[in-house]
Amino acid sequence: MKILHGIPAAPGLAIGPAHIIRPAPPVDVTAQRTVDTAVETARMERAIGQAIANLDRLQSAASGLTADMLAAQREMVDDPELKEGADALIAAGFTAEAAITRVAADYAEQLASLPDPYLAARAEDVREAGRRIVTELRGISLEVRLERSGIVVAQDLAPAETVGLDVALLQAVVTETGSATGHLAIVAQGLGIPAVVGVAGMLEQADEGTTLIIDGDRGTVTIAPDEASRGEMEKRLATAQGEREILEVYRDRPGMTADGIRIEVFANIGSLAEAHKAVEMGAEGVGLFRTELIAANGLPAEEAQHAIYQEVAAVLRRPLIVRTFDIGGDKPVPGLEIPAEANPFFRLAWDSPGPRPTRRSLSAPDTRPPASRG
Amino acid sequence: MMERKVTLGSKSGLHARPAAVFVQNAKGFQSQVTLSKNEKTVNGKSILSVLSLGAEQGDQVILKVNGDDAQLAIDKLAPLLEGDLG
Repeated sequence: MKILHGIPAAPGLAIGPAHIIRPAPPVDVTAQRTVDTAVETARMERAIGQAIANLDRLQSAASGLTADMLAAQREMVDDPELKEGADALIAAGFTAEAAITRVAADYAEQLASLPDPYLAARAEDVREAGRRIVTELRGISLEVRLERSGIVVAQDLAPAETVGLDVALLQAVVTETGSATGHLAIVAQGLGIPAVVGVAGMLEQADEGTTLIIDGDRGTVTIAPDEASRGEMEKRLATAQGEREILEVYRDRPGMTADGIRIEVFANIGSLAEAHKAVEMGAEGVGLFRTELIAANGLPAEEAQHAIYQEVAAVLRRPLIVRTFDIGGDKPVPGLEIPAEANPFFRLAWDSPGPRPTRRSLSAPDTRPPASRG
Repeated sequence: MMERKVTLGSKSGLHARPAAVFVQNAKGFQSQVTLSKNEKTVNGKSILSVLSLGAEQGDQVILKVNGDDAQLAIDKLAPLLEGDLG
């Protein structure tokens, strides 16, 4: 048994088998092919076809911004110039993996040098498109998948990697990097899944299938727990379950103190899924809709934002307070290069006209959601 | 070969989604399709090349098509660029 310490990112307890997502080994961009040009080219074409088929499958299950992101990925994987460039490098003697990686890196550099920060941030998308093809060439999968319930252990989890993840099977999340207020923490909290982030050495210590206890309240990960730890864990789980049952009685009652003072109980949400959860848990409204989470893959267009807010409002059918994008600080958004500030959370009257989102929105008017404009 | 000068109507210029929509449409024609901005000319069926133009709303780009279905292609693609591709 071994106990590792990290940052508690989402509360709760879980026990289950580790499902380890190892970062793919880097591609050797100097690797030379050992087979004929024609054989290597055919291998690449097959990999491109498989990557396209995978993206089509993911896209058909996605909606909104995720679907847009996947559509752009699909076009990148299916790009005739990408293929032509890679063909030429294969003919010159490189492996398909090296060829695709080199050409994708060239385009990524071109995009990164553009003055438009949104387009510059697409450089990472191009590299990801290249990685998707390389993944197929290597015969491994990029998407995080769970066949049975388990605890996902990864260096880091990007929003794109969690597309297609079956939340019903996800017991908990442990990552080596991340912060208590980052995207992963907020997403895990919203889904009610325990998470511990910033656990140094996690990937080295745990093997696939090893039993883990995740304590999202204390920020600990117990690897291969002994009888005593399991016993304590089961006791705490039973207590938590008991508390939930007691509280469930109050779920659909209006918030009120013992002496009859009415206090409305609102939820904080960051997505449509959490809006459903808020309704399910009997929230009387939403006090904070963290809109920056919908920008995790790049800032959505005004119409797309409008559609999301409308959808959330339709699900809730109760008061909803939308917060303008809280971007910067510890939540970077691809496409918006915001210079690092010494104290992104520090708000002084002489320094800013208001709290961070307002400050950002006022100084960059076109990032405001329509609701706050004019 | 047919050529038309168009002003980009999409609010975000040729960002990923509008570029994807344009490229998908361009691929539906046999004709060769190119886009030019300033001195740079790129393959209109390649999203990576179209993105590398760095074109923004209000920019003038030249759409060129060459092939059997050039007329059909230009009539479809020019209004796409001028409209809001999303």
